[in-house]
Amino acid sequence: MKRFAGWVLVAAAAWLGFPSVVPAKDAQPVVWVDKQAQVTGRKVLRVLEVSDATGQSLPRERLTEVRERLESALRSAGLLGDSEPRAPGLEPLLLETSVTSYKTGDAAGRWIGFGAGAAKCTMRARLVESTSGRPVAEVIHTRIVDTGGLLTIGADARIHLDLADDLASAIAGILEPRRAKR
Amino acid sequence: MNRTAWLRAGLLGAAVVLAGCATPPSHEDMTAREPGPVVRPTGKSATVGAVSGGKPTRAWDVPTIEDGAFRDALVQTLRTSRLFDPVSTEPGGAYRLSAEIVSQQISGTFDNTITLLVRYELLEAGSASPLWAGNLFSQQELSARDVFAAQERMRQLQARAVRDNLRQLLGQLDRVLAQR
Repeated sequence: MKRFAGWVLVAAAAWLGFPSVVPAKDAQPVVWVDKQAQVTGRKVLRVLEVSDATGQSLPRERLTEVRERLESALRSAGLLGDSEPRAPGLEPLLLETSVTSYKTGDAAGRWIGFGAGAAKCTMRARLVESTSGRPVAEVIHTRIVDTGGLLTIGADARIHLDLADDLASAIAGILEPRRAKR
Repeated sequence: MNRTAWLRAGLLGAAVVLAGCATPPSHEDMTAREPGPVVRPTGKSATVGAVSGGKPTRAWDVPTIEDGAFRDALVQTLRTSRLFDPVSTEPGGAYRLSAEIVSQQISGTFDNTITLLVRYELLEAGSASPLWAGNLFSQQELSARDVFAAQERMRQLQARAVRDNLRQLLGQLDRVLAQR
């Protein structure tokens, strides 16, 4: 019996092994910029309504909160709503944002760790030219709260706002790369 | 420690090391065999050009989507769909399709999410400007329950994301070509 248990242990270790323990990775914003377009020095004319691409009918107020947060962050950075184009000859940009995944998770589960009870949210933001509709840049980002247990109560109510801040910061980095590096 | 114990320990070590060596998802797994959207055959040939942006899999790391396997999956998916006929990697097709894997980021610990963003460009033979170019985004998730699939779960996650991306591509190409 002992010998059998030993071999089971060998098999289980081989199966689970190293690869099942993927190091925790904080998602970094995925940024794409059209190499043919001049993006630096342009402004966002308007932040459009945020769309729900999760297929789970998110509450309307959550989407509105995301739009307002993006607007506020971009306005603070001086990158929003200016009738005067900052770069002559370049169309101002519109910001199209969609929530592509949203999972509230649960704080009790997060106490266990290992991803149990994780709250997750992913958004995709695209900068498109206001007249031609041509996309010139996009940012996709996922925020995950998967540790911290009861200390993370309410994480699901904040995660979309924190993610909106991350998106705004990445967008500012695209439009004003020098300022973002400082 | 007797000989059996040493043997067992050695086997355990070897098995763990071998199981830990990452292998990338295969092109067969990434091929979208059921195209999803119904596509209208164009009756024209296509060349699948370069695929860039993929990363070679390192034995000690998580598997990654490689350029060659992605290109093979793209070729097989286009052939299966019959959107173009024939589909080849040799130059000379009526259309030329190229792809750049912009991101294949996996996040989370046991509860993984893949963010796959691929930029495609479709050119008509003899034309310098693309007929269509766009980014297609796919996101797939695995739950903590899949942890017992070990490294296979990463390959499943990546293969599912690529298949979804290629299905989206077929729909997009069909719409673009139908307008011509």
